[in-house]
Amino acid sequence: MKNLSDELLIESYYKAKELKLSPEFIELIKREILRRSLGHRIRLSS
Amino acid sequence: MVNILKDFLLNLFFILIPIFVVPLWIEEKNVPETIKQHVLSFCSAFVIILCMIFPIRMDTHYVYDLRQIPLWLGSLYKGPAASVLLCFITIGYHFFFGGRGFTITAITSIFITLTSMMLSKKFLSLSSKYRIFLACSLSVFSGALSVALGHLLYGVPPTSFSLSLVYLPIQSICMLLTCYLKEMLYKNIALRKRIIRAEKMEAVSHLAASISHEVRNPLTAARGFMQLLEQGQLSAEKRKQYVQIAIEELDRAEAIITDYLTFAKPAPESVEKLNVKTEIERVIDLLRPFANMNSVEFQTLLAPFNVKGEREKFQQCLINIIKNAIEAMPNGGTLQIYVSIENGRVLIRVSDTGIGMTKEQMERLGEPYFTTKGIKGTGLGMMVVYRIIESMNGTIHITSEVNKGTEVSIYLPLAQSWKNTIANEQEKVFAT
Repeated sequence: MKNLSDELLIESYYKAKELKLSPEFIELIKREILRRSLGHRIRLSS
Repeated sequence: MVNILKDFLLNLFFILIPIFVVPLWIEEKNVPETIKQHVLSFCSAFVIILCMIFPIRMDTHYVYDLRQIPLWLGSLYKGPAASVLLCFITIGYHFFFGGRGFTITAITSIFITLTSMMLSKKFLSLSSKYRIFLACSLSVFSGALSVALGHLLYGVPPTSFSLSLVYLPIQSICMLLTCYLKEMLYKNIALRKRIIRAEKMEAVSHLAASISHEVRNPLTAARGFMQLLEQGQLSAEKRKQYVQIAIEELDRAEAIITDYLTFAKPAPESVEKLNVKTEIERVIDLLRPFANMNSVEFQTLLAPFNVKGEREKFQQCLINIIKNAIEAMPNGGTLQIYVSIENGRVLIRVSDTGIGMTKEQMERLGEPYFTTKGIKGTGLGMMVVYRIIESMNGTIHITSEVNKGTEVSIYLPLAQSWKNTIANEQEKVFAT
């Protein structure tokens, strides 16, 4: 997951939420977003 | 009578000494299998000669000794090649140095060799109880054969004949004793090996939990990205990225499982040159999931020195030590692994920032069934570590302070051919 671009990662996060994919998967993406210190981008818009 | 007893005991002493000493020495020193077999065969040969040098003088006519016991045992346990060697030595010795009765020696030795050549394979597949029984019966038979030959060929007078009837039961009792001790010692050695194996299986099952956890994450990710790929209208570029990520995640899962299985699978027991750095790195890879679960971070400073030992055992030893260190830090911490050279020996130092141990606990460390982990520990891990390090001719030093952490230092002999490159390696180590 480390090689995914920031943009696509954020996009995947919303897409996964929209499609109601498994919560574990959403959690994994979220963790990667937080690891990259991009937390503000999902928290701002959610 | 006292003299006869003395002679018998001396013979028995010759037979028993190698049975006690040799297996112990061989097991401690990690001698390769082929050399082990040769050493055991030559020991039997040596014992046969000693028995013949110091025979049991029944009376002036007839001389007995217990050479048939090492001859039988050597032939039955070590197979046809050893059997032929022992037969040659027995007959040869008697031919050049022995007195009368050469025909008896030749006939009985050849009889023993031929019989054991036929039986040796079958003999080794029997259970130890039947092995003892068979060996005793065979020795009675060969003893009776030599007594009968003595009577027929040399016309040993009746007084000697009755004395020789004493010899038969004594030989079979000695055989029983020897065989029993041999079997018991082998059972003990096998048991020790089994403990090491059982301890490993314990570690394997402990690791299984962390492994399954660590494998689930990449699988979840791969599955999620596949689903994303299936659903949305994505640009080719994004699709490509998703597919790549999914493959990477699957590869990671596979790597974790492979590492785990390599450890779980039994490896051949052969002594080889081991690179300390590679082995430690492999063990760290294997234990990383376990460390992650305990929020433990690795810090390493490794150098590629070589030591001699069995790969599987050395890895197991490292795993036990590093796993202990991780388990000593339930709230996370740092685990440092440092490799260097001290006084011509390889030093591996593993230190943690965990709960440490009290003096009382330190003293009992390495005792079987002593554990600081309560119900979770087997109390065998450190014992196995001590045993493995000993077998590699190494030493181990542990210092610990409660709530500060524990430091385990292992010193191992450097494998010979690398001594020249120590200087270079040392420079490299300290340059980094």
